[in-house]
Amino acid sequence: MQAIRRDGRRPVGVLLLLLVGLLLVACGSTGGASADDSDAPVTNTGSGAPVDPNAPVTGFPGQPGGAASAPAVRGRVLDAAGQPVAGVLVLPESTDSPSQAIPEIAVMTDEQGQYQWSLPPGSYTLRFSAEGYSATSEPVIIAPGATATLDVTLQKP
Amino acid sequence: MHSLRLRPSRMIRSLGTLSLVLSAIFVTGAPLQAKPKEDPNTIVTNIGAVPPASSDTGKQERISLPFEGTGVPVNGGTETVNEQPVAAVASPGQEAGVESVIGSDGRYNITGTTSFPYRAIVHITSSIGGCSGWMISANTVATAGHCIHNGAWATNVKVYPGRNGSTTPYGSCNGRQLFAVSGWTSSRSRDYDYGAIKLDCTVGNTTGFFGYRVSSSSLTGQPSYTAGYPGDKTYATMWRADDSVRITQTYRLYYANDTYGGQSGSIVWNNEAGCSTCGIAIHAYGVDGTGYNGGTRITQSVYNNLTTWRNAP
Repeated sequence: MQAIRRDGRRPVGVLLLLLVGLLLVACGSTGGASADDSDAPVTNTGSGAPVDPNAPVTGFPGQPGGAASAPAVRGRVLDAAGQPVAGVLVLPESTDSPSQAIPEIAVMTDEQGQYQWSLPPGSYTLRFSAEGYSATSEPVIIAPGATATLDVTLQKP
Repeated sequence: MHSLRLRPSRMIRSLGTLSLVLSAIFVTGAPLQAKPKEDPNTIVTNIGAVPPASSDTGKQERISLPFEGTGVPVNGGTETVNEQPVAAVASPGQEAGVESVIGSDGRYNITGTTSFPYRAIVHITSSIGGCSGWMISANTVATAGHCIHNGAWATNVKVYPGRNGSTTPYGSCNGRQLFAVSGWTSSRSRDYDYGAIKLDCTVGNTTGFFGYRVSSSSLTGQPSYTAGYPGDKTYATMWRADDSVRITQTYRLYYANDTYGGQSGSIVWNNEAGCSTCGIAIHAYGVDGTGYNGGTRITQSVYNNLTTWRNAP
Protein backbone atom coordinates (compact mmCIF):
# COMPACT_ATOMS: atom_id res chain seq x y z
CA MET A 1 0.00 0.00 0.00
CA GLN A 2 2.80 2.34 0.96
CA ALA A 3 4.56 1.53 -2.33
CA ILE A 4 1.40 2.16 -4.27
CA ARG A 5 0.82 5.52 -2.46
CA ARG A 6 4.43 6.53 -3.21
CA ASP A 7 4.09 5.54 -6.86
CA GLY A 8 0.75 7.43 -7.07
CA ARG A 9 2.34 10.74 -6.00
CA ARG A 10 5.15 10.56 -8.54
CA PRO A 11 2.97 10.47 -11.67
CA VAL A 12 1.05 13.51 -10.35
CA GLY A 13 4.28 15.36 -9.72
CA VAL A 14 5.80 14.66 -13.10
CA LEU A 15 2.51 15.43 -14.82
CA LEU A 16 2.61 18.82 -13.15
CA LEU A 17 6.16 19.14 -14.37
CA LEU A 18 5.00 18.33 -17.90
CA LEU A 19 2.22 20.88 -17.65
CA VAL A 20 4.61 23.60 -16.52
CA GLY A 21 6.97 22.65 -19.28
CA LEU A 22 4.22 22.86 -21.89
CA LEU A 23 3.10 26.24 -20.58
CA LEU A 24 6.64 27.50 -20.80
CA VAL A 25 6.91 26.18 -24.34
CA ALA A 26 3.70 27.97 -25.28
CA CYS A 27 4.96 31.21 -23.77
CA GLY A 28 8.28 30.88 -25.53
CA SER A 29 6.72 30.35 -28.94
CA THR A 30 4.36 33.31 -28.77
CA GLY A 31 6.83 35.78 -27.39
CA GLY A 32 9.40 37.59 -29.44
CA ALA A 33 10.16 40.97 -30.87
CA SER A 34 7.17 42.87 -32.15
CA ALA A 35 7.51 45.24 -35.00
CA ASP A 36 8.24 48.75 -33.98
CA ASP A 37 9.55 50.90 -36.75
CA SER A 38 9.48 54.12 -34.79
CA ASP A 39 12.91 54.95 -33.48
CA ALA A 40 12.47 58.65 -33.10
CA PRO A 41 10.06 60.76 -31.10
CA VAL A 42 6.99 62.07 -32.80
CA THR A 43 7.52 65.64 -33.80
CA ASN A 44 3.90 66.46 -34.28
CA THR A 45 3.70 70.14 -33.65
CA GLY A 46 1.08 71.10 -36.15
CA SER A 47 -2.35 72.49 -35.60
CA GLY A 48 -4.17 69.37 -36.79
CA ALA A 49 -5.25 66.45 -34.66
CA PRO A 50 -2.25 64.41 -33.50
CA VAL A 51 -1.85 61.10 -35.25
CA ASP A 52 0.04 58.17 -33.84
CA PRO A 53 2.68 57.25 -36.44
CA ASN A 54 2.51 53.70 -35.19
CA ALA A 55 -1.21 53.42 -35.85
CA PRO A 56 -2.23 50.27 -37.73
CA VAL A 57 -1.26 50.43 -41.35
CA THR A 58 -4.23 51.04 -43.56
CA GLY A 59 -2.28 51.91 -46.62
CA PHE A 60 -2.44 50.69 -50.12
CA PRO A 61 -2.81 47.94 -51.17
CA GLY A 62 -3.48 46.28 -47.84
CA GLN A 63 -2.36 42.74 -48.34
CA PRO A 64 -0.10 42.00 -45.38
CA GLY A 65 3.05 40.08 -46.02
CA GLY A 66 3.79 41.86 -49.24
CA ALA A 67 3.04 38.96 -51.51
CA ALA A 68 1.84 39.82 -54.97
CA SER A 69 -1.78 40.70 -54.36
CA ALA A 70 -4.84 40.31 -56.54
CA PRO A 71 -6.77 43.49 -57.21
CA ALA A 72 -9.34 44.21 -54.51
CA VAL A 73 -11.89 45.58 -56.93
CA ARG A 74 -12.15 45.31 -60.68
CA GLY A 75 -14.80 45.97 -63.23
CA ARG A 76 -15.84 47.28 -66.56
CA VAL A 77 -17.34 50.56 -67.68
CA LEU A 78 -19.79 50.57 -70.56
CA ASP A 79 -21.92 53.18 -72.18
CA ALA A 80 -25.68 52.99 -72.59
CA ALA A 81 -25.21 51.06 -75.82
CA GLY A 82 -23.13 48.44 -74.06
CA GLN A 83 -19.84 49.57 -75.57
CA PRO A 84 -16.69 49.84 -73.45
CA VAL A 85 -15.62 53.34 -72.45
CA ALA A 86 -11.86 53.91 -72.32
CA GLY A 87 -10.13 56.61 -70.33
CA VAL A 88 -12.64 56.74 -67.50
CA LEU A 89 -11.00 57.96 -64.31
CA VAL A 90 -11.85 55.65 -61.41
CA LEU A 91 -11.28 57.18 -58.00
CA PRO A 92 -12.05 55.49 -54.68
CA GLU A 93 -13.06 57.34 -51.56
CA SER A 94 -13.10 55.60 -48.22
CA THR A 95 -16.44 55.62 -46.42
CA ASP A 96 -15.07 53.96 -43.30
CA SER A 97 -14.83 55.87 -40.07
CA PRO A 98 -12.08 56.85 -39.63
CA SER A 99 -11.55 57.03 -43.35
CA GLN A 100 -8.63 55.28 -44.97
CA ALA A 101 -6.08 57.29 -46.89
CA ILE A 102 -6.26 56.61 -50.62
CA PRO A 103 -3.07 56.54 -52.68
CA GLU A 104 -3.32 59.22 -55.33
CA ILE A 105 -2.89 57.12 -58.42
CA ALA A 106 -4.88 57.89 -61.56
CA VAL A 107 -6.46 54.61 -62.58
CA MET A 108 -8.26 54.79 -65.91
CA THR A 109 -10.16 52.22 -67.90
CA ASP A 110 -8.37 50.61 -70.82
CA GLU A 111 -9.69 50.09 -74.33
CA GLN A 112 -11.92 47.29 -73.10
CA GLY A 113 -13.34 49.58 -70.45
CA GLN A 114 -11.65 47.56 -67.73
CA TYR A 115 -10.08 48.85 -64.55
CA GLN A 116 -8.70 47.44 -61.33
CA TRP A 117 -7.72 48.85 -57.96
CA SER A 118 -5.82 47.29 -55.09
CA LEU A 119 -7.19 48.59 -51.78
CA PRO A 120 -7.30 47.49 -48.15
CA PRO A 121 -10.52 45.79 -47.01
CA GLY A 122 -13.22 48.29 -46.17
CA SER A 123 -16.06 50.34 -47.55
CA TYR A 124 -15.57 52.69 -50.46
CA THR A 125 -17.34 54.76 -53.01
CA LEU A 126 -15.88 54.53 -56.50
CA ARG A 127 -16.32 57.62 -58.62
CA PHE A 128 -16.30 57.23 -62.40
CA SER A 129 -15.76 60.31 -64.54
CA ALA A 130 -15.02 60.91 -68.20
CA GLU A 131 -15.47 63.74 -70.63
CA GLY A 132 -18.78 63.53 -72.39
CA TYR A 133 -20.44 61.50 -69.68
CA SER A 134 -22.15 62.27 -66.40
CA ALA A 135 -19.97 61.28 -63.49
CA THR A 136 -21.36 58.56 -61.29
CA SER A 137 -20.46 57.05 -57.94
CA GLU A 138 -21.12 53.54 -56.70
CA PRO A 139 -20.51 51.95 -53.31
CA VAL A 140 -18.40 48.84 -52.94
CA ILE A 141 -17.35 46.77 -49.97
CA ILE A 142 -14.03 44.97 -50.12
CA ALA A 143 -13.85 41.91 -47.93
CA PRO A 144 -10.49 40.55 -46.72
CA GLY A 145 -8.91 38.29 -49.30
CA ALA A 146 -11.71 38.78 -51.79
CA THR A 147 -11.94 40.62 -55.10
CA ALA A 148 -15.06 42.68 -55.60
CA THR A 149 -16.51 43.30 -59.04
CA LEU A 150 -18.16 46.58 -59.88
CA ASP A 151 -19.40 47.18 -63.41
CA VAL A 152 -20.83 50.55 -64.28
CA THR A 153 -22.77 52.09 -67.12
CA LEU A 154 -22.12 55.73 -67.89
CA GLN A 155 -24.85 57.93 -69.28
CA LYS A 156 -24.53 60.92 -71.52
CA PRO A 157 -25.60 64.16 -69.82
CA MET B 1 15.64 -9.30 -7.99
CA HIS B 2 15.57 -5.82 -9.23
CA SER B 3 14.09 -5.36 -12.69
CA LEU B 4 16.29 -3.60 -15.25
CA ARG B 5 13.32 -2.45 -17.34
CA LEU B 6 12.45 1.24 -17.38
CA ARG B 7 9.37 1.56 -15.23
CA PRO B 8 6.51 3.77 -16.42
CA SER B 9 7.05 6.21 -13.57
CA ARG B 10 10.65 6.71 -14.55
CA MET B 11 9.63 7.18 -18.17
CA ILE B 12 7.18 9.89 -17.19
CA ARG B 13 9.78 11.56 -15.00
CA SER B 14 12.27 11.50 -17.87
CA LEU B 15 9.74 13.02 -20.22
CA GLY B 16 8.96 15.73 -17.70
CA THR B 17 12.62 16.58 -17.32
CA LEU B 18 13.07 16.59 -21.08
CA SER B 19 10.13 18.93 -21.51
CA LEU B 20 11.59 21.32 -18.97
CA VAL B 21 14.91 21.29 -20.76
CA LEU B 22 13.24 21.87 -24.10
CA SER B 23 11.09 24.66 -22.73
CA ALA B 24 14.16 26.31 -21.28
CA ILE B 25 15.70 26.21 -24.72
CA PHE B 26 12.61 27.75 -26.29
CA VAL B 27 12.36 30.51 -23.70
CA THR B 28 15.99 31.50 -24.09
CA GLY B 29 15.48 31.17 -27.82
CA ALA B 30 18.76 29.44 -28.55
CA PRO B 31 17.92 27.35 -31.62
CA LEU B 32 14.69 29.22 -32.52
CA GLN B 33 15.67 32.78 -31.80
CA ALA B 34 13.52 35.38 -33.55
CA LYS B 35 15.23 36.68 -36.65
CA PRO B 36 16.58 40.18 -36.21
CA LYS B 37 14.10 42.65 -37.64
CA GLU B 38 15.07 43.97 -41.06
CA ASP B 39 15.56 47.69 -41.46
CA PRO B 40 12.40 48.86 -43.28
CA ASN B 41 14.57 51.17 -45.39
CA THR B 42 16.35 48.16 -46.88
CA ILE B 43 16.52 48.66 -50.62
CA VAL B 44 14.73 46.21 -52.92
CA THR B 45 14.71 46.20 -56.68
CA ASN B 46 12.86 44.48 -59.49
CA ILE B 47 15.89 43.40 -61.49
CA GLY B 48 19.60 43.26 -61.05
CA ALA B 49 21.58 43.79 -57.92
CA VAL B 50 20.87 46.21 -55.13
CA PRO B 51 23.42 48.99 -55.45
CA PRO B 52 25.86 49.46 -52.58
CA ALA B 53 25.22 52.40 -50.34
CA SER B 54 26.69 55.52 -51.84
CA SER B 55 29.81 56.87 -50.16
CA ASP B 56 27.93 60.15 -49.75
CA THR B 57 25.43 58.62 -47.40
CA GLY B 58 27.88 57.89 -44.65
CA LYS B 59 28.60 61.54 -44.16
CA GLN B 60 25.13 62.29 -42.81
CA GLU B 61 24.76 64.90 -45.48
CA ARG B 62 21.60 66.91 -45.35
CA ILE B 63 21.28 68.69 -48.67
CA SER B 64 21.52 67.49 -52.23
CA LEU B 65 21.57 70.54 -54.44
CA PRO B 66 19.42 70.98 -57.56
CA PHE B 67 20.68 71.36 -61.10
CA GLU B 68 18.84 73.42 -63.69
CA GLY B 69 20.06 71.68 -66.84
CA THR B 70 20.11 73.17 -70.34
CA GLY B 71 16.37 73.14 -70.81
CA VAL B 72 16.56 72.72 -74.58
CA PRO B 73 13.50 70.75 -75.72
CA VAL B 74 13.80 67.98 -78.29
CA ASN B 75 12.51 68.66 -81.79
CA GLY B 76 11.87 72.29 -80.88
CA GLY B 77 9.43 71.23 -78.22
CA THR B 78 6.83 70.07 -80.72
CA GLU B 79 6.98 66.38 -79.94
CA THR B 80 3.61 64.98 -79.07
CA VAL B 81 2.32 61.65 -77.98
CA ASN B 82 -0.98 59.97 -78.62
CA GLU B 83 -1.38 57.13 -76.19
CA GLN B 84 -4.40 55.19 -75.02
CA PRO B 85 -6.29 55.89 -72.91
CA VAL B 86 -6.10 59.63 -73.30
CA ALA B 87 -9.66 60.78 -72.73
CA ALA B 88 -9.75 64.02 -70.79
CA VAL B 89 -11.64 63.96 -67.60
CA ALA B 90 -13.70 66.69 -65.98
CA SER B 91 -14.03 70.18 -67.36
CA PRO B 92 -11.89 72.88 -65.81
CA GLY B 93 -13.74 74.48 -62.97
CA GLN B 94 -15.82 71.41 -62.28
CA GLU B 95 -15.87 70.62 -58.61
CA ALA B 96 -13.41 67.88 -57.96
CA GLY B 97 -15.57 66.33 -55.29
CA VAL B 98 -12.99 64.33 -53.46
CA GLU B 99 -11.30 64.96 -50.19
CA SER B 100 -7.82 65.66 -51.53
CA VAL B 101 -9.08 69.01 -52.78
CA ILE B 102 -9.51 70.70 -49.42
CA GLY B 103 -12.06 73.47 -49.45
CA SER B 104 -11.93 75.58 -52.61
CA ASP B 105 -9.67 74.31 -55.36
CA GLY B 106 -6.39 76.23 -55.19
CA ARG B 107 -4.63 74.43 -58.02
CA TYR B 108 -3.32 76.36 -61.00
CA ASN B 109 -2.28 75.08 -64.39
CA ILE B 110 1.38 75.17 -65.35
CA THR B 111 1.67 75.65 -69.09
CA GLY B 112 5.31 76.72 -69.17
CA THR B 113 6.56 73.23 -68.50
CA THR B 114 9.88 73.83 -70.29
CA SER B 115 11.05 76.21 -67.57
CA PHE B 116 12.79 75.01 -64.44
CA PRO B 117 11.76 73.46 -62.14
CA TYR B 118 8.67 72.31 -64.02
CA ARG B 119 10.62 70.56 -66.72
CA ALA B 120 12.08 68.32 -64.01
CA ILE B 121 8.61 67.13 -63.02
CA VAL B 122 7.51 64.00 -64.83
CA HIS B 123 4.32 62.23 -65.76
CA ILE B 124 4.54 58.48 -65.15
CA THR B 125 2.46 55.77 -66.78
CA SER B 126 2.67 52.08 -65.96
CA SER B 127 0.63 48.95 -65.40
CA ILE B 128 -0.33 50.39 -62.01
CA GLY B 129 -1.76 53.66 -63.32
CA GLY B 130 -0.85 57.29 -63.75
CA CYS B 131 1.50 58.94 -61.28
CA SER B 132 3.89 61.84 -60.98
CA GLY B 133 7.57 62.03 -60.19
CA TRP B 134 10.58 64.31 -60.18
CA MET B 135 14.09 64.09 -61.55
CA ILE B 136 16.84 63.70 -58.96
CA SER B 137 19.68 63.00 -61.38
CA ALA B 138 20.29 62.68 -65.10
CA ASN B 139 18.61 59.26 -65.18
CA THR B 140 16.71 58.89 -61.90
CA VAL B 141 13.15 59.74 -60.98
CA ALA B 142 11.87 59.85 -57.40
CA THR B 143 8.28 58.83 -56.85
CA ALA B 144 5.95 57.08 -54.40
CA GLY B 145 6.55 53.42 -53.63
CA HIS B 146 3.00 52.51 -54.57
CA CYS B 147 3.51 53.98 -58.05
CA ILE B 148 6.02 51.25 -58.84
CA HIS B 149 5.03 48.40 -56.52
CA ASN B 150 1.50 47.41 -55.48
CA GLY B 151 2.05 43.82 -54.45
CA ALA B 152 4.09 43.30 -57.57
CA TRP B 153 6.45 45.51 -59.51
CA ALA B 154 4.99 47.81 -62.13
CA THR B 155 5.60 47.01 -65.76
CA ASN B 156 5.77 49.20 -68.86
CA VAL B 157 6.97 52.16 -66.84
CA LYS B 158 7.24 55.26 -68.99
CA VAL B 159 8.25 58.75 -67.97
CA TYR B 160 7.48 62.06 -69.70
CA PRO B 161 9.43 65.02 -68.28
CA GLY B 162 7.77 68.41 -68.47
CA ARG B 163 4.75 66.97 -70.15
CA ASN B 164 1.97 69.39 -71.10
CA GLY B 165 -1.02 67.40 -72.25
CA SER B 166 -0.17 65.67 -75.50
CA THR B 167 3.02 67.73 -75.85
CA THR B 168 6.15 66.06 -74.56
CA PRO B 169 8.93 68.62 -74.98
CA TYR B 170 11.60 66.22 -73.73
CA GLY B 171 10.19 63.06 -75.22
CA SER B 172 9.84 59.99 -73.07
CA CYS B 173 12.08 57.47 -71.36
CA ASN B 174 11.48 53.94 -70.18
CA GLY B 175 12.02 52.70 -66.67
CA ARG B 176 14.71 50.02 -66.81
CA GLN B 177 15.03 49.39 -63.08
CA LEU B 178 12.78 50.13 -60.14
CA PHE B 179 13.76 50.69 -56.52
CA ALA B 180 11.72 50.70 -53.33
CA VAL B 181 12.28 49.62 -49.73
CA SER B 182 11.13 46.59 -47.81
CA GLY B 183 9.11 48.72 -45.41
CA TRP B 184 6.83 49.33 -48.37
CA THR B 185 7.07 46.20 -50.49
CA SER B 186 6.86 43.75 -47.58
CA SER B 187 5.15 45.64 -44.79
CA ARG B 188 3.00 48.02 -46.88
CA SER B 189 3.70 50.78 -44.38
CA ARG B 190 2.90 54.30 -45.51
CA ASP B 191 5.93 55.43 -43.53
CA TYR B 192 8.14 53.91 -46.24
CA ASP B 193 6.10 54.67 -49.33
CA TYR B 194 8.85 55.95 -51.60
CA GLY B 195 10.87 54.66 -54.52
CA ALA B 196 12.77 55.52 -57.64
CA ILE B 197 12.93 54.72 -61.35
CA LYS B 198 16.20 54.38 -63.24
CA LEU B 199 15.69 55.50 -66.81
CA ASP B 200 17.13 54.30 -70.08
CA CYS B 201 18.09 57.89 -70.89
CA THR B 202 19.94 60.84 -69.31
CA VAL B 203 17.21 63.42 -69.88
CA GLY B 204 18.00 65.01 -66.51
CA ASN B 205 21.05 66.64 -68.04
CA THR B 206 18.60 68.65 -70.12
CA THR B 207 15.65 69.06 -67.79
CA GLY B 208 17.75 69.54 -64.71
CA PHE B 209 16.79 67.93 -61.46
CA PHE B 210 15.54 68.86 -58.02
CA GLY B 211 17.56 68.86 -54.88
CA TYR B 212 16.32 67.31 -51.67
CA ARG B 213 17.10 67.84 -48.03
CA VAL B 214 16.71 66.47 -44.54
CA SER B 215 15.53 68.48 -41.61
CA SER B 216 15.69 66.89 -38.19
CA SER B 217 13.54 69.63 -36.71
CA SER B 218 9.88 70.24 -37.43
CA LEU B 219 8.97 71.68 -40.81
CA THR B 220 5.55 72.83 -39.65
CA GLY B 221 4.86 76.30 -40.92
CA GLN B 222 7.35 76.13 -43.80
CA PRO B 223 5.99 76.66 -47.30
CA SER B 224 5.01 73.54 -49.21
CA TYR B 225 4.75 73.58 -53.01
CA THR B 226 3.67 70.60 -55.02
CA ALA B 227 3.09 70.01 -58.72
CA GLY B 228 2.13 66.95 -60.69
CA TYR B 229 -0.43 65.41 -62.97
CA PRO B 230 -3.90 65.21 -61.40
CA GLY B 231 -6.26 62.87 -63.17
CA ASP B 232 -9.31 65.14 -62.93
CA LYS B 233 -7.80 67.77 -65.23
CA THR B 234 -7.17 67.61 -68.95
CA TYR B 235 -5.13 64.50 -69.40
CA ALA B 236 -1.43 64.81 -68.53
CA THR B 237 -1.47 68.51 -67.78
CA MET B 238 0.63 69.82 -64.93
CA TRP B 239 -0.95 71.57 -61.97
CA ARG B 240 0.56 73.17 -58.93
CA ALA B 241 -0.80 74.02 -55.48
CA ASP B 242 0.80 75.97 -52.65
CA ASP B 243 0.29 75.78 -48.92
CA SER B 244 2.41 75.18 -45.85
CA VAL B 245 3.35 72.14 -43.83
CA ARG B 246 0.57 71.66 -41.28
CA ILE B 247 1.78 68.61 -39.38
CA THR B 248 5.28 67.14 -39.05
CA GLN B 249 5.54 63.50 -38.06
CA THR B 250 8.56 61.27 -37.86
CA TYR B 251 7.98 59.74 -41.27
CA ARG B 252 5.32 61.94 -42.85
CA LEU B 253 4.47 65.52 -43.61
CA TYR B 254 0.91 66.79 -43.92
CA TYR B 255 -0.25 69.84 -45.84
CA ALA B 256 -3.37 71.35 -47.41
CA ASN B 257 -2.00 71.61 -50.94
CA ASP B 258 -4.86 70.54 -53.18
CA THR B 259 -4.05 67.32 -54.95
CA TYR B 260 -5.87 64.58 -56.85
CA GLY B 261 -5.46 61.03 -58.04
CA GLY B 262 -2.46 60.94 -60.37
CA GLN B 263 -0.32 63.12 -58.18
CA SER B 264 1.14 60.33 -56.12
CA GLY B 265 4.91 60.69 -56.32
CA SER B 266 4.83 64.46 -56.79
CA ILE B 267 7.57 66.42 -55.16
CA VAL B 268 6.72 68.57 -52.15
CA TRP B 269 9.35 71.27 -52.12
CA ASN B 270 10.28 74.70 -50.81
CA ASN B 271 13.19 77.12 -50.95
CA GLU B 272 14.21 77.08 -47.31
CA ALA B 273 17.41 76.28 -45.45
CA GLY B 274 19.62 77.56 -48.22
CA CYS B 275 18.30 75.05 -50.73
CA SER B 276 16.16 76.39 -53.53
CA THR B 277 13.82 73.90 -55.21
CA CYS B 278 14.63 71.18 -52.70
CA GLY B 279 12.25 68.35 -51.97
CA ILE B 280 11.12 67.81 -48.40
CA ALA B 281 8.59 65.05 -49.04
CA ILE B 282 7.15 62.78 -51.72
CA HIS B 283 3.39 63.22 -52.01
CA ALA B 284 1.51 59.97 -51.62
CA TYR B 285 -2.00 60.14 -50.13
CA GLY B 286 -5.15 62.16 -50.07
CA VAL B 287 -6.85 63.29 -46.91
CA ASP B 288 -6.70 60.90 -43.96
CA GLY B 289 -7.66 61.21 -40.32
CA THR B 290 -5.48 64.29 -39.93
CA GLY B 291 -7.68 66.24 -42.34
CA TYR B 292 -4.74 66.90 -44.65
CA ASN B 293 -3.00 65.38 -47.63
CA GLY B 294 0.24 63.65 -46.83
CA GLY B 295 3.58 62.53 -48.16
CA THR B 296 6.63 60.56 -47.16
CA ARG B 297 9.00 62.83 -45.33
CA ILE B 298 12.61 62.95 -46.49
CA THR B 299 14.33 61.61 -43.42
CA GLN B 300 18.01 60.75 -43.23
CA SER B 301 17.22 57.18 -44.34
CA VAL B 302 15.14 58.39 -47.27
CA TYR B 303 17.87 60.87 -48.18
CA ASN B 304 20.47 58.11 -48.07
CA ASN B 305 18.45 55.83 -50.32
CA LEU B 306 17.60 58.58 -52.81
CA THR B 307 21.32 59.32 -52.99
CA THR B 308 22.20 55.68 -53.45
CA TRP B 309 19.67 55.35 -56.24
CA ARG B 310 20.75 58.64 -57.80
CA ASN B 311 24.36 57.47 -57.89
CA ALA B 312 23.57 53.96 -59.15
CA PRO B 313 24.45 53.38 -62.81
